[in-house]
Amino acid sequence: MRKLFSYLKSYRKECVLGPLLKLAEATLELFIPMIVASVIDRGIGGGDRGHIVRMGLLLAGLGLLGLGFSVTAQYFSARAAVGFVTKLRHALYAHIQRFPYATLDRIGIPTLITRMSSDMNQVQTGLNLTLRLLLRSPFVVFGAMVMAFTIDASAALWFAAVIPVLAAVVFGVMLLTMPMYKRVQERLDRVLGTTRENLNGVRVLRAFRKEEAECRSFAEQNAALTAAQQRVGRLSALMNPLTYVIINAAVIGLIHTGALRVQGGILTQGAVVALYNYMSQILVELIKLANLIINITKSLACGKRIQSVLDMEDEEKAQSGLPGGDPAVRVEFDNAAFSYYAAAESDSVRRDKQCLSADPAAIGADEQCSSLRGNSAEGAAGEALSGVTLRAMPGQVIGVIGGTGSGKSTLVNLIPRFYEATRGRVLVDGIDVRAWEPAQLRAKIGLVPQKAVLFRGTIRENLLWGLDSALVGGGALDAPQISERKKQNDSSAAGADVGIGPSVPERIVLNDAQRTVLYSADGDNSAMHSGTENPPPCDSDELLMEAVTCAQAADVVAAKGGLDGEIEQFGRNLSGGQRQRLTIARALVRRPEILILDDSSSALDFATDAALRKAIRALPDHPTVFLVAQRTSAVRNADQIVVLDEGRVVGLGTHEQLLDTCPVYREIHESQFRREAAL
Amino acid sequence: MRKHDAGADARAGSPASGKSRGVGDAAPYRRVSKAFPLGGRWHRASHGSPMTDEGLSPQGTASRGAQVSAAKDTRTAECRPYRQERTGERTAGSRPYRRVLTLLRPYRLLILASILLSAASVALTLYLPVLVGRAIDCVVGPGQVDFDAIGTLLLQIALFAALTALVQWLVSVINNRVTYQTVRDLRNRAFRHLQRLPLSWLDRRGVGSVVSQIITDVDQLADGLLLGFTQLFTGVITILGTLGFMLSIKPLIALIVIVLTPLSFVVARFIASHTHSYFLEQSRTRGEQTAFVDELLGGQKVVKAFGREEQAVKDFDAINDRLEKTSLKAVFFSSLTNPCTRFVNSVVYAAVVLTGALLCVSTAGTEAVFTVGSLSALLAYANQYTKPFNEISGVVTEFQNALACAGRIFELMDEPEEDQGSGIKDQGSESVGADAHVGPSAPERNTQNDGAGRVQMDHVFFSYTKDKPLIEDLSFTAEPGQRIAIVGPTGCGKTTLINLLMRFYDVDGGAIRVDGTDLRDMTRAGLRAKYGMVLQETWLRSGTIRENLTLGKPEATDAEIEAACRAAHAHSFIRLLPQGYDTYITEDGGMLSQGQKQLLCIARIMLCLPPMLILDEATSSIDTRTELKIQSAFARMMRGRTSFIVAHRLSTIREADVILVMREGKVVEIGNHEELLKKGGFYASLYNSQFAQ
Repeated sequence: MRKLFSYLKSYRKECVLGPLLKLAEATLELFIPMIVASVIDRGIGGGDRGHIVRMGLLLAGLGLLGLGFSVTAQYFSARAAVGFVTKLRHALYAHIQRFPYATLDRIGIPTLITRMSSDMNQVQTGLNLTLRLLLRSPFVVFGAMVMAFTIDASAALWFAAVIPVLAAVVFGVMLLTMPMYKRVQERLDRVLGTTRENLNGVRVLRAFRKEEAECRSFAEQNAALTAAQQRVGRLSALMNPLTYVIINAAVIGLIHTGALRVQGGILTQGAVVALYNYMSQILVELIKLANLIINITKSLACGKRIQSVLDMEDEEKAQSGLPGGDPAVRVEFDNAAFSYYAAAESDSVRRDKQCLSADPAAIGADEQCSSLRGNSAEGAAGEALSGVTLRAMPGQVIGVIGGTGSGKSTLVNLIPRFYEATRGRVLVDGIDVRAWEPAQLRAKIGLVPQKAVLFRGTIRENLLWGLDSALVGGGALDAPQISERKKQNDSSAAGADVGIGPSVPERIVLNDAQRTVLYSADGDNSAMHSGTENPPPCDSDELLMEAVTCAQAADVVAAKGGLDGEIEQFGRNLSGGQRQRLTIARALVRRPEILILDDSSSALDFATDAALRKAIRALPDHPTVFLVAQRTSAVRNADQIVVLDEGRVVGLGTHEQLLDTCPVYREIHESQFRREAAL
Repeated sequence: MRKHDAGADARAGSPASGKSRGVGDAAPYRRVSKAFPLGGRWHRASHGSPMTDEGLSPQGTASRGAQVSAAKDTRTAECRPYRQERTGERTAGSRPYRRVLTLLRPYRLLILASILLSAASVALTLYLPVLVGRAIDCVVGPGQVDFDAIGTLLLQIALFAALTALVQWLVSVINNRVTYQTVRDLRNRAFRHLQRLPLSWLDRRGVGSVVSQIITDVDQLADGLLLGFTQLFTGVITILGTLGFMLSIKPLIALIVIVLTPLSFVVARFIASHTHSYFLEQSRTRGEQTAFVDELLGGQKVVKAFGREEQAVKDFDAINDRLEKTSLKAVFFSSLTNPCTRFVNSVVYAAVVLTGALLCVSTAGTEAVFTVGSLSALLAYANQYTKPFNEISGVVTEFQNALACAGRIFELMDEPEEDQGSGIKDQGSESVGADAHVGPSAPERNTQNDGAGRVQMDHVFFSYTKDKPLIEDLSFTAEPGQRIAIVGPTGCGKTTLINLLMRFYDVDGGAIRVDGTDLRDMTRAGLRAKYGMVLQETWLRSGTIRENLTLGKPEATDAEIEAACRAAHAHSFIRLLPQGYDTYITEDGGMLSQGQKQLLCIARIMLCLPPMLILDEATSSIDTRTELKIQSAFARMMRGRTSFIVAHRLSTIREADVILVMREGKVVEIGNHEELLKKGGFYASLYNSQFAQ
């Protein structure tokens, strides 16, 4: 938690002043019964009207002063809590940006979203309440007791007796009910889960005519929830009556003792009233405290969860001193292997601990733990990918084929170092990927992921994702320039054996005019905007449209009303195939040196798919293409085809070679084409 | 005296409050908001923000209810504009409220008891300060203490305190019971109703909003209407009772309290109405941020792939900084309510002390003596007089929310159920038995297997929305045992055909007949029993592998299950799972690959083998080698069964008896592979594109 609190440092002043002012206000409150006592004894008892008026005004004045104190205190604590959480949110989000894929997989995106939203809100509320109330309530309770002792020690013994009893009841009920509320929450989750599951699977369930069975199991879980709610309800319903009885017993004792002391002339009537008033303050504050503690416990749990994400390792930086390879080879796999288990091992111990301690209220926790165990089991059985040796030359098309779960995606994700080879190595342009500055490495690569993800905004904004960072990190601008760069690149690459990307200097060479042209086209990039909403210049549009056409997405863009067509969140307003084509276009926009298509045309029909492959092969700057596919028809024209089977390379060669030499490939091929031959 | 303090504070969320749901209280909303970030959070925000209303007039309440629900609709139902049209009609008047009363009818005795006991408890608690005041009056000074009277009074205090405690406890227990059981009943009914709603409704509505109707809205309804009602009731009685007691003690001071106290109410209202806009602003910005995080983290791998990390943080910070500003305002200004009302209270307190004490002095020795004990009782009342007001204002907000929720729930309950086909009364219940044991549908099945299974589409017209005609005048006949392939580009309406065949949707015109019977003349259950269906989107439920497999045949033996899995080539990977067939999987299938999930779905059908099959892209995620392996099993399964197959993969289509080629919702060509190739039409161009490179 220390790391978490370090974000509170800049609010030190607020964190000290807030509670202090609250205490000041509470102190004022403690004086009130004394003032009333003096009104009764001196004012009423002595018939001193002037005193009564003075004391009345003093009461109002104290109220005003208290208002000033508490308003300032509220401001300080609000500022500290809101500011702290703002800083923390920024830190967490920035930290997540540095996570490697393996970490993202392990934590899971839904969990991260929860950490960013509801956990943060809970921490803010918790901190705010803590600053405002944590010191105040105990202070008032003990303050009241101390004041009682200053009035009369033997009457005050009732306070000493009743405070522990009340505390025992209040905290006892709280402690007993807390786990019960947790159970209620779990059961509510189950009811919620059942409902959601039922709705998601509505077609299957109706096809199997499970409606009645579903109603029954829903009713069962619903009844379990109600039972749990009633059980905890019965217990916590005890608190109010019990405390009520206790406090009144204490009042009875107090009045009795008070009566004796007054009779003996030791106490005044006003003092008895004051004691009675102090007693009433105690209960309120104890209940507030119990509430506060529940809230703080929750917030602490949330804080811990946030902390544990902050503790996860960042992405590895570029390492130096790694041996290089042949710089003429664009991508080289040198006996590379990857195991999710080994990647997870480094912090799996910590992760396991977390699973145990994690608040079960966190939806994701259980699933995560189980999926982690699943992964480990899988990993223990073997590596997801092993012994891959492959050299891809510039301009080559490499087909990657294999069954589900054979490691195709893993293989291509090793190239941009999204996953890091756990054994062996992967080199790009003769340099180990671990020696590359990640941003520079990735700027060379256009990746089309299996899952087509687009973002809210215009089509143009989405496509410019490809260009934007390509600019900064060093991508292509226009066709002539890129081919020129390529030449330089190729020539300089031969001599390059430094730890950094070989063509870095060339990449940053970009004149300002081009920069503004390209950036002003990016509506999303408001920071870069100089405020003028110029219509985007056509040359960058041409660039985008070239990519769009190549990706067979021209009709998609046209259907959405051109490059300014709006894409909804998650690309909801597009079909799967439309999304896929746009993601391909996005990768093409940056004119990558390495293009990775990770089974990214699965939603396309054959005609479109075939046209797409043709267009990619005809790209003017001849990128090295990694084409992951399930169909041999998609890879048959590739320069080399890697055949994977359960994480092992079982074949490497051209279509014809593999048909002769690789039984697995032949099997795959025949499963798709055999009957064709018979026709 | 302190009962009221305690009660008021408990309302702020104590675990032992009358609501007695303190800890769990906020959690359900938090949870729902996780799943449905926009809707859920807004819900909470509107609930938690200190909204107040002009009064308790039914019109005011209803109109606010409509506002709340309309605003919520725009958040939770972005993609369902049609809801807005309904809003007006739905929340018109107090209709939902009357219907809530109907829901409560089974508990009317308990509710009556609760009301009476609450009244008793209020009266008792208000009476105690009077007793304490009398006792204090017996303690005047040295030698002036009336111990006999004190003894009696203390005994009375003890008795009344115990009685009050008992009554309080009973009220809580009864209220819990009524609330939770009403919620339970309502949920069960809503869920049952859901099982009979047409899929068109569910598809339009989206899972998220329906789940929040059944979970969050029902909770809110219970909180608002039931607990809100009791609180409103106790609040009003407390105010009236306090007034009565104060008047009976000293009308002058009572007047001061009555005049001054509403000040705090006014102050609270003033602050609330001014912070309301900050709260809205805060929840809007929060919503924006959550949407941003949701989307960008959801695509985090793409963000990294394109090196957009820095830009993403920059964009995030822009929202984050705005959120800081609006949050600070919302948090700070709303936290002013407490100090301000406390200040007003202390002014009232001071005024009571001042006038009371002066009265004591001036009446000293006279007949109408105003005693210190009376003053202390009045002080106790003054201290807590504002609390029921604050409570009531909170209740009003909850009431309005609850009415809006009730409106939404009843809207769901009012959606007409789909007719279950003719003879639904008898056959419907039969199908209930059918899923316990395959029983009643089994004989039907056998007759189907003996040659029957003819499906006719007779001039079918269908569209999802009136303005976009989709299927127009489609006619074809699938003979028993034939294999029908449905082919065409993405989005051409292939799954629509399945929706019609399974009668998830009803045709707009024409008819679909199975063995000569119009679908509308069969029970839905009866029709669906004839089909085995594997959908493109694999759906597994959370449960063990075995539970998933036996969905269609709960009584299947282990041997049967294993045989089906072997046939579907699922046995080998299931065996390798940690607990084999008893491995627990989550709804999304957890560690299973997409292909494995599909194999499970196939095995699920293999196990119960209905007479007709619908396979929608059943093999799209299975690699072709695995696919090849299950082809034989499939062929066996399809033999003698009329099968409809939707697939992109030509290898699975080639052997079909009839190929329906679809384009833009219309069937453009019908025939077998060779015929269609010869024809040189759309199918031929689709086909050739795969090999023409």
